[in-house]
Amino acid sequence: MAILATREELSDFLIETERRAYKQALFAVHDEHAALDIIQDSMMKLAASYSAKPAEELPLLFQRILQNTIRDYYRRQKTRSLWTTLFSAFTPSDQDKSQEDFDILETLQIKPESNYIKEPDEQLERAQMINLIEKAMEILPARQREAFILRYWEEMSLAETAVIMNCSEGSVKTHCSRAVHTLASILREKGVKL
Amino acid sequence: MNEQELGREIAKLLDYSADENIKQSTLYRLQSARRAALQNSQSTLEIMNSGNNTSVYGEHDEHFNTGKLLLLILALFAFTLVSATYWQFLEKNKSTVDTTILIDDLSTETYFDNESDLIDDLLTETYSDNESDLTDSSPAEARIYDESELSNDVPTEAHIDHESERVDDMPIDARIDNELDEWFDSNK
Repeated sequence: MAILATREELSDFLIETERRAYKQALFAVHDEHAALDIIQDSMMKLAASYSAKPAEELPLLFQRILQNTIRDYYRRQKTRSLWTTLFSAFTPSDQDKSQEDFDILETLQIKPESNYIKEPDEQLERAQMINLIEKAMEILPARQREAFILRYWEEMSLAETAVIMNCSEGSVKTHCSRAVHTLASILREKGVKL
Repeated sequence: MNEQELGREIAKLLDYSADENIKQSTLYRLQSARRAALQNSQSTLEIMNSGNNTSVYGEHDEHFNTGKLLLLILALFAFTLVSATYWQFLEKNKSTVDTTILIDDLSTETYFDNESDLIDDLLTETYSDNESDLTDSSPAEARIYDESELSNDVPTEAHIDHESERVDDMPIDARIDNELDEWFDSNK
């Protein structure tokens, strides 16, 4: 008999997942606010509908909800883009936008928790590489990115990834392979060797 | 480096990115979203009852008693209504049970043709059946059928033939005696 997830387990799961999920959404939609909205929607849906599920089912369910919410965002964007192009004259200027984006919280210092890189040059090199990989992830086709993230980042099995992506295991393998080759070629072009 | 190793290496870098490369304001918003989701989950779970007069979190739920009581009253009301209707139905049909059973045995064609006559016939037949049962071992209907079968099996021409055959089969002396008897009777 499966044991249902307690509130603490659900909370722990969300704490563990939220950052990766945010990055995942950010790679997909290229917009911080939209990515945050997607994460909040996904968390709400999971908590409202599936909080009574066993704890081991939560990652699979959350990923499925997340992918569906991202797809919903794409659909809404398609409809909105029609109206925004029609009424583009009413959009605020860049100056207004920069003031709007200012957030007092961003002035706070991040606590230096990571201690795996001691040297500043190594830290810089790592930061550059991460930046490159993030950009490469944004370039990747949606399905390849989805397959790569689920398989290598979320460490899900082929079967689980296939369930979330609603395709066959063979398709997942193909998407993963293509994603890795594309990322490798992008990094090679930039002179990065892993 | 093979495909899987390269994938894992990139995933490791993405992990570092998720740990370090997120703004404080974004982290704060993520935390707010998580809290909102958990509150939403708690309010959802409070509605769900475990069935032991307590909610999932072990808190007393007053609404559960009211709902249970209402359900019980509804069930009792429904039971009373059904039993009363059934009792009425039984009372109504109690006097005509025998007739209903007899009518039910008849075919639909006979029911439409001559309902009252048939019912009367049936009643008399049953009476005669009962009487015959008391007197004889064989039923009256069976006897009637046997007779009709005997009479119906032989055609009328055959009957005539049989009679003439009987006359023809008689011996000549007997025929003379008969003729003499007829002549004496006429001269008397």
